[in-house]
Amino acid sequence: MFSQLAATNPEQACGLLSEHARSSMEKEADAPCTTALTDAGLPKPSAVRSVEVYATDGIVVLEGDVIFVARFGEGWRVTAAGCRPEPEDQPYDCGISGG
Amino acid sequence: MSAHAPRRAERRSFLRDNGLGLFFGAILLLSLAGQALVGTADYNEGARIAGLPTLTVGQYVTSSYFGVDVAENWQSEYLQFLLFILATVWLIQRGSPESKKAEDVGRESDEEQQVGPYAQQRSPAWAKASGWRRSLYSSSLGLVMGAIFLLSWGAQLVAGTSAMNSRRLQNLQNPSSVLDYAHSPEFWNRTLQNWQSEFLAVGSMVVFSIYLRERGSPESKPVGAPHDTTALEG
Repeated sequence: MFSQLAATNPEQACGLLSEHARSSMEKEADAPCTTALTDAGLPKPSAVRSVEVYATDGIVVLEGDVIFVARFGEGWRVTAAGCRPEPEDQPYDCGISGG
Repeated sequence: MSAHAPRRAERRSFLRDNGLGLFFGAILLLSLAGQALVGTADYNEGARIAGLPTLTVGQYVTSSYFGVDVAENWQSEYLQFLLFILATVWLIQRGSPESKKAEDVGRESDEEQQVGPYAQQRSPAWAKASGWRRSLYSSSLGLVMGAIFLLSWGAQLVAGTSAMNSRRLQNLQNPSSVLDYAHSPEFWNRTLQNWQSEFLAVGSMVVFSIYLRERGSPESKPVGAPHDTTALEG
């Protein structure tokens, strides 16, 4: 999955991020995407538990991670990854995010 | 006279005989096309700012965002006319051309409704019939309007759930169920804001038409008709 790709081929993983997610991550880390992605501390790769899609947006729930994706003109892109649930229906706390 | 003249006259006659239905059909399609175009532009404006995917017009009209906006209006229109059709069976508004007279309140007699033995030669077959067919046909307008209302309201619920979940995922929240959406303020806000406007429009037409006139319209009394004349269309 995404975290495995981020560990083995960060360049390709960067290409799968949405433009906003990529630029916010680079800005926050003050480093190029590949470096920022390696330093983001994404959870270890795990099996997919469920996938749900509504209109242009999707959520992929893994054993040890939650990833948000969206369907852009060029295909599906990761808008947030390394997400941990928050109490009371609050938005997930994500290692990488940005629309 | 050319050989095409009778066909042209036939076409003109068809247009004249069906002008009202064709006019509303045409402005419905124009309005839907306009809604599709400006709806896409509106959605894309917000999506660009948030760095989210933009949609083509084709993608937008097949999305739950367009679906919920269309369905919420359709259900309220069909509910409005369903209630108007049913309420005018038993309720009257003295002086209104939209109301029947006090003495006619209720389902009326078979003779007045021209059913069964009182059916005319050109009456619909099921009006001449007896039993369930006559009963069903006697309520067919309300049943069909009610069915379309329920289907549209159901479509609003399903499309609304999907559109809300799309927004929840954009906000990095978990998606909700249809049942959750059915209890949500958004569902009822969308529903009631449409209902109130429909009820206002019908109620004001019923009352305004007591005192105001539109010469030549069957929805109005004749211009010279007294204000207290009920059930008279001009």
